[in-house]
Amino acid sequence: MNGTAHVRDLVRRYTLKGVLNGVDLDVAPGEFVALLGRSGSGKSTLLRALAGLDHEAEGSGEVHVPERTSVIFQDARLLPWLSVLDNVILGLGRSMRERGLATLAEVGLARREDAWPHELSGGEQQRVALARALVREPELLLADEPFGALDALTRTRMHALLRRLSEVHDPAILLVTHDIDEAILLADRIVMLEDGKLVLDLPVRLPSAPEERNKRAASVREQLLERLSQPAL
Amino acid sequence: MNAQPDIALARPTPEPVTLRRLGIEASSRWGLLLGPALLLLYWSVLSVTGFLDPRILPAPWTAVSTGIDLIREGRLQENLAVSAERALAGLFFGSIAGVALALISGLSVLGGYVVDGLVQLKRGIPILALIPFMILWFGIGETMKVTVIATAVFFPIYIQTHTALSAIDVRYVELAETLRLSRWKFLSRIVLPGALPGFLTGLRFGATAAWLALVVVEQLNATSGIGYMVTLARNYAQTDVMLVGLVVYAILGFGSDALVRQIERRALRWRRTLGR
Repeated sequence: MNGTAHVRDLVRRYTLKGVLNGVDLDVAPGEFVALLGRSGSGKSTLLRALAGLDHEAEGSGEVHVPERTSVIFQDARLLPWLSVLDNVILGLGRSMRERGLATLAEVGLARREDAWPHELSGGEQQRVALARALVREPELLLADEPFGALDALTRTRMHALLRRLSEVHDPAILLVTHDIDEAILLADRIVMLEDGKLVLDLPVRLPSAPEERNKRAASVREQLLERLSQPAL
Repeated sequence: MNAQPDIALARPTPEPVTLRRLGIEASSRWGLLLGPALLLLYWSVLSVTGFLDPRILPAPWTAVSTGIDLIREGRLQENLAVSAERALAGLFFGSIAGVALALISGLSVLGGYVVDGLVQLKRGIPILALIPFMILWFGIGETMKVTVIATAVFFPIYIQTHTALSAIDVRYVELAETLRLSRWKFLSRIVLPGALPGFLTGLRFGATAAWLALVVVEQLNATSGIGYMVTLARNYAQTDVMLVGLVVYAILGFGSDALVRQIERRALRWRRTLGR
């Protein structure tokens, strides 16, 4: 049982949405994995299982995640009645103030600590959510389409920010997304979920030389699109 | 014949488009006094012109001078202190019970079944209909008076707090779980702030209910308090003293409502709403 996150033969059934049919997945420490899939493929269900949010679900299998696991949702999910800083250090106690401030500075929100969440833009709110996840020094970061609600320009900036911060803090990351380019750009490895099963496990390994990099990205993209275009089994 | 150029010339320059404002403008702090001030003006005019018989309703200035006399004698402040003490005690105990039971019924399934069912049952019985029983159980002393007021306060506080608590977004509960908040932190950082707007609404209704219950219990049997003062004045047909009593009730009701609104403004700074 090595690896940071570890899922074996996970089965989940819901009455209305999301089904998992025997999923095996390992995420190594520091590894950035993108989880792709069409809507309804079960990717959110898998993430919720890892986050421990599926109390009501029926199913079987084994899920193991590290003690320090943070979750970023599609909405920033800030408490409107707490200031930005209090949202970041929610549940950690006032002694974490300094670290909270430092993390806010890291996500580019220095001196906004006393603002109310509604005073921030959508992108800024999501950055607060990122700070809230990172201030806990997670070993595993679970992100459920965290940039899905942002405009294209803000999303590009958030990609750069996430890449930079993932190098500094080096958590294992599982990013749920339906955006193929986002997955190629950010992840070390891409897994694809279809009808509750993992159907593809593809290392990205983008070279640093720009030309080779583009070539590799194009090839990964092609493989993913090909898999996506196949009819579901 | 070519009308085209004329039409082009006649086309008016487009006016800048302004959307109709649906939200209301920011309100002034003292704006609430406008209605009462107009009523006072109307009343004064009727009194001056003699339309109002002072035996039926004395003029506003009679109320003021009688009020000054009563203060000089010490009767007004003495009775007011007693009344205020009753109302505050009732408000205090009623609020505590309302919030506590709202938490119990909102946060546990069993509690919800037991408490909420009982409260809904009791809601059908007017509080005043309970007074004979209250007298039977608690006597005619202060305990009965404070209990009646507390019961009257309890219901709006319970109902509003419970409603707000049930409306707390389940996404915040998920957030609390992923952040591994303790039960206490969950309560203090998510449940209580989330239910606070409801509690404050309940408190406004509760304050009004407290004064209402106060009037009733003080007129039933009492040897002190504003209600007692009014009842006594009625026996001697002192309409001016009765009027002072009414004015004091009105000021108390208006003042307590304004106070709660002020607290609301402070406590709910984080909200962006239509009505501010």
